[in-house]
Amino acid sequence: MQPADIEPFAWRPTARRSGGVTYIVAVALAAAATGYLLGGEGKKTEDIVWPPQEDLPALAQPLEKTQPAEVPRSKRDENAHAGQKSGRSNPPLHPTPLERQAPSKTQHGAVGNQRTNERPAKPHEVRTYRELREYMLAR
Amino acid sequence: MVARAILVFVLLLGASAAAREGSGGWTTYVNERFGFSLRYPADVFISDRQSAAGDGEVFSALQGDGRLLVGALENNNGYTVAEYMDLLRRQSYARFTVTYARRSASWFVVSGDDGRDVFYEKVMFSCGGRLINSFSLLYPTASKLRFDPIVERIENTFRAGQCDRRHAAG
Repeated sequence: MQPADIEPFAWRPTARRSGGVTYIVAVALAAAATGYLLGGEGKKTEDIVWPPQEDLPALAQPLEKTQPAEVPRSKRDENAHAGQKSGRSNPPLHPTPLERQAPSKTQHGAVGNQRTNERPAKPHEVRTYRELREYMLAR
Repeated sequence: MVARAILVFVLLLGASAAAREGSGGWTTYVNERFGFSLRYPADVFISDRQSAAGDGEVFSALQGDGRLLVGALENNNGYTVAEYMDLLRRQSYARFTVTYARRSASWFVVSGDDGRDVFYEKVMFSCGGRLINSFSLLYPTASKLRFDPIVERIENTFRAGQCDRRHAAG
């Protein structure tokens, strides 16, 4: 066998392999670059400049003053029972699931007395973010 | 040989980028009403309940007792960051011992535990202080190793809502 018969056979596949790897590396590089470009978290949220203290309106009134006075559960039950005794059709007010779970009646997530005049919340019904907070903390 | 090494390196780099993106179960929550957003692991938390007012949502962990609260409210009382932080500590987390608290001009973080549960809350004021955006996690102390990394990632993706017509400075 003459060398001239062997060399073309030996070199062509090598050249093809080299080209293939180069192609794969190029594609992988492009994919990685795309992944970084698209996968970044983006620009971080900048702190929003808070107005200087003296520019702010006066502090809100103490929370207790901005909310209707809370009526103790026992008092509400008494009122409800009184309504029954007096022949009114209003049924006694039972605590909603949220009220049962809530450990405290604070303003942040508070349920004021006004709510007792509203229809009882359906199970899984939460009206506001404050009630959601109550729900979460009552686990 | 060198080309193969480069190939392996590049593939690993690509995999790292994909992992960083967190395609594995992480999804974006955007509040339609106020515009704040964050990413959370949808394979860990599922929606538990939403408020009818559209200002928040609670997610519960599929396993365990973890809960994630996201929400926003209008700062009608004109609270400063410090005031709202103090309010939150007293009224939402009174039973907890605060172990970490950090405050900036427009945001704060407060965290603590009560021996049974751990809480972590981040609050961001936006729109010139007229909008208070927050997320909060509550989970068992025993599950710290599981939830702490989640807290960190959620925090990194938390974006406050921006001013809309209603909040625009008049």
